[in-house]
Amino acid sequence: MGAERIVDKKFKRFEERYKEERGLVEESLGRPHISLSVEMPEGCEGLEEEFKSLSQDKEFMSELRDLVKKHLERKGREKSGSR
Amino acid sequence: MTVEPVKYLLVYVLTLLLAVSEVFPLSVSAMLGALLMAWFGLNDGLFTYEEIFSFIDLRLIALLIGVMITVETVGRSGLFRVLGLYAVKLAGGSPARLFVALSVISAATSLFLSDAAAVLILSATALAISRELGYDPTPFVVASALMINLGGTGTLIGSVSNMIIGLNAGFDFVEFAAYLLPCELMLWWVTIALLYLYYRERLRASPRLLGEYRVRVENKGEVAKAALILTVMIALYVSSERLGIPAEAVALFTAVLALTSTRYDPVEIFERIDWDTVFFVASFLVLVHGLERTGILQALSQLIYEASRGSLAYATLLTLLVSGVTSMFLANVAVALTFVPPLKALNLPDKRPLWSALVLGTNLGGASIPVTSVVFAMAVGALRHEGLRVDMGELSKVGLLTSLAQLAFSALYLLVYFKLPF
Repeated sequence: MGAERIVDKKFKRFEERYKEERGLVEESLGRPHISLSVEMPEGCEGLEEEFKSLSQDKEFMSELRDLVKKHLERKGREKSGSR
Repeated sequence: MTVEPVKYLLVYVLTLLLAVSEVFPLSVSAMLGALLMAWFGLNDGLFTYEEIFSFIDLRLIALLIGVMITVETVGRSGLFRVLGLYAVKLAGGSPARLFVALSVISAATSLFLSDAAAVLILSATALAISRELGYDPTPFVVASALMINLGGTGTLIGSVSNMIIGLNAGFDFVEFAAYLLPCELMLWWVTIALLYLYYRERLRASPRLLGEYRVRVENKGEVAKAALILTVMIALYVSSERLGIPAEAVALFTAVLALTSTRYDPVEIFERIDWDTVFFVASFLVLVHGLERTGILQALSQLIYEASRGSLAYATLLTLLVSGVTSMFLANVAVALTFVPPLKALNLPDKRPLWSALVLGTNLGGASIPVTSVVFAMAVGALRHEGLRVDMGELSKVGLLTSLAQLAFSALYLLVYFKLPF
């Protein structure tokens, strides 16, 4: 087993607590934070490894941030329009 | 009664191999070893069934569980997260000052929290802040992990191995701190200086302003309660010898105080106790005491005596070196438990330097390599989780160099502090 896999295995036990703590630090810094659980989409069989490493994919995370921003901006417009 | 010790030694080695290879968790490896030891020992008449249970030191288990409950409850309040963020804020935007502030707060947090809890909080803080400022997070996270391993070396309740050694040595909280806390505090600065020198190029970014961030404290009441519980706990430990209260009684009292004075669900607290370590310690005690009955550990004691030619200075340095190096590759709790019987049996008038050497060896060797150290692995895991590339070889080099430098400094400290003649 490679060194990185051993480290990842050890970290796995604490991953949820780390995510929770990371969120709490962001909250303490005044940046609201959410953690989502996303199921692997149908039709993507054989891409499990790629799916599981998406949170470490810079390009994907950037696209996700853009999506969240667009969605929130739309929600903001709807909110101000309904007033 | 004479028994063939080889099979008992094989059981011990097999247990360690299972633990190192991570085929099973630490606790399960030790339980399997204890079961084999009990089976062979009962068949050979090495000990009785009742004696097996007397091998498990209930005082030690009570101390472990009491400290773990208190630490988990206090950790939940967010007190250390808030303190960490304030320390970072005080450091301003300079990477060098931020590096020192995070290192100091990491070691200080580890004085009170378990290493695992401390590394979660400080890795998250280091990553959030360094990313906010656009600095390379690796030096901050690595320094934080190594300082967390160092933090608590000088206190009876600072680590599991300290509790094992302290109770067996008969050190109370104050005595333990008197021998070891000065060394720990000096090592803080030695380690920070070494790590700063190593990472100086990567810390040479232009200082950036941290911006107008305000540290938000959601549960002020719980944070205040946590600070009060810690104050009561320290006051009780410090005066425990004078009051005639054993350390494990203080731990259990503080645990009950923490559970009854906070609003956290005790079941959730119990779920987060490090049961793996508790079961590992209980099972490994059976293994070590069984081994002791075969005479193997007495032979090890004799070996230490002969190798050190009866000199306390040599025996101290040998204990420091062997426990330090073995702790780099094996669980330091196992190293501490294995060393206790031979040191107890050693025929030397003053064993304080030996116990102190064992404390320093097991603590400082414990975070050298990410693959074998949980604290280091968690920090590296956090870096990888954030999508950062890590060079495992380089990190192992940093950890090993730091541990060796800390062990060398500790050797000097022990020789000077205890005025050991060669």
